[in-house]
Amino acid sequence: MEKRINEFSSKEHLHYAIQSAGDFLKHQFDVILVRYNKDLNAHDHIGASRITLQDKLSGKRPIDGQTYMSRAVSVSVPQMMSETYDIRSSFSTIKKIGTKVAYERKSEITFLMDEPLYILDELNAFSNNGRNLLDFDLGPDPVQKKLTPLTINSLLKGGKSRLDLIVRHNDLLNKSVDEKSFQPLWLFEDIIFLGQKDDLSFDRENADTQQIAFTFLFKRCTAIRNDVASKII
Amino acid sequence: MSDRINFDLKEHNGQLNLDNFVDIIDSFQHDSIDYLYDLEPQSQNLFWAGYFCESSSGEKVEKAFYNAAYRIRKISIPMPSMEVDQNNTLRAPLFKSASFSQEITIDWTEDVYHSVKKYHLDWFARWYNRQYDVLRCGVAGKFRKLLVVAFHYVDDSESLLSQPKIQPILAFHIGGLIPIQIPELTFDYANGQNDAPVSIKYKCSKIQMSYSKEIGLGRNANIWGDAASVSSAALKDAKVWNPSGFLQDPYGPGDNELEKLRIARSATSYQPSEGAIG
Repeated sequence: MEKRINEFSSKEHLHYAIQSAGDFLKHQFDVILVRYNKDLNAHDHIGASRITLQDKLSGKRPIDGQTYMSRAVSVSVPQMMSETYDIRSSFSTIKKIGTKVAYERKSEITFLMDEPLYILDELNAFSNNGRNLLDFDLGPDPVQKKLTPLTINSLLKGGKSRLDLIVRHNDLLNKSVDEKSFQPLWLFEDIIFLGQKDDLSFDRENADTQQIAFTFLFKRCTAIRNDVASKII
Repeated sequence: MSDRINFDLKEHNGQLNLDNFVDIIDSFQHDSIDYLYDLEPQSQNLFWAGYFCESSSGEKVEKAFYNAAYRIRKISIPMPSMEVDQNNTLRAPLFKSASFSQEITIDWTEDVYHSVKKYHLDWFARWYNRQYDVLRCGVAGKFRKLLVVAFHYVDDSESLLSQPKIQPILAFHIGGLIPIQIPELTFDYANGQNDAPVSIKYKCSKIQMSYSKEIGLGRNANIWGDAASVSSAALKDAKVWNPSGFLQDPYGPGDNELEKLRIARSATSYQPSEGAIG
């Protein structure tokens, strides 16, 4: 053991650091929204083509999947941790791993808003929060009376097609194929946008860009290596 | 340190020789940490409860609550109790009676069509016809059964990527179920609670506990009733809920049509009846 410990000299340490992969950099990522036809089930996502988001609302909207990819500012991938419990042993307390896992099937993604707020508009449509849609006339239109704030699951999902979110670690360094195959992507299955977390704000003393975080639920989040992921997207 | 405690009652005029405990207690703190840290805990959330259908001797499954295993979120199974009287003459407790509780409670996950209540109301109608205010004769459709399996995960592989295997520990075969209390149906503007559990009480005529042969207890331990065998095939049905492509009960109506109705993605006014569920 002593010999093995001594082998980890500073020189060797540096060698292994160089030989290992690069650091995980937070800003290297792609966001891809994938929309599926209503009839597709969970097993059909592999090989399905990307469908632009503009077909749900007006066909004039100049945004598609690439727009979402370019305007995504940040996204979180929830991680799991087992919960623990205590058991007493005489004068000490023992921590033990339990059969519950702390994991919330809920996350958020932040988009940099476009000036016409098309992204805000469409993601509100997906959350069924129709009152925020810019397209609807605010006059005394009977249609407006029928718009409801987001309420229950059937309204959130009924009639909507399935939406998946893919977060991919973006390789900017032109790595070899072998290295790429170890880079993961995360597939959020069947996400449901709940609405926007941040307000739209106007301020004459502040010229910052407007970013809005959208909270969403997901059925399952799977980490996939690139060799498999290439078949999905 | 001796392997066994020497309970020498004669050495000190009938008193226990406590010197034998010195070596054992000496390492008790250290050993108890090892023991308790490694002890696999019993867990309340590793169970599968399904195969909810009419009690019958034949193989045909009738009046089933389709895919009940995904709906049953909690079940409490009573254990037997014994009453003992202290006899003052003998200065000893004497057996008085044993009792076997026949009441179980199940918490169900309801859906938008109130399928759970509908199923139990239809079941209730097998006992009493409210329209004509008459009792129904015969046993057809009156009694249901249920299988509850406790399990854990076993992984004896050294590989970090190995998948743990399911090992059933014990099964409860509950027969002769009768719904005795169905909770009220509440609508309330002041309360937007979703998926409140529907807690239903049942009387049952049999609770049979069977240990898995894999853990070395190849026999049935009857708490109540006779010793009917538990289908080994039914023990393997625990899977993750997935409305599109999940593993269904093998005795269902097929084609997953009814379950499609109950998920939020579809919009319909159809309300499943007991017959349609089974």
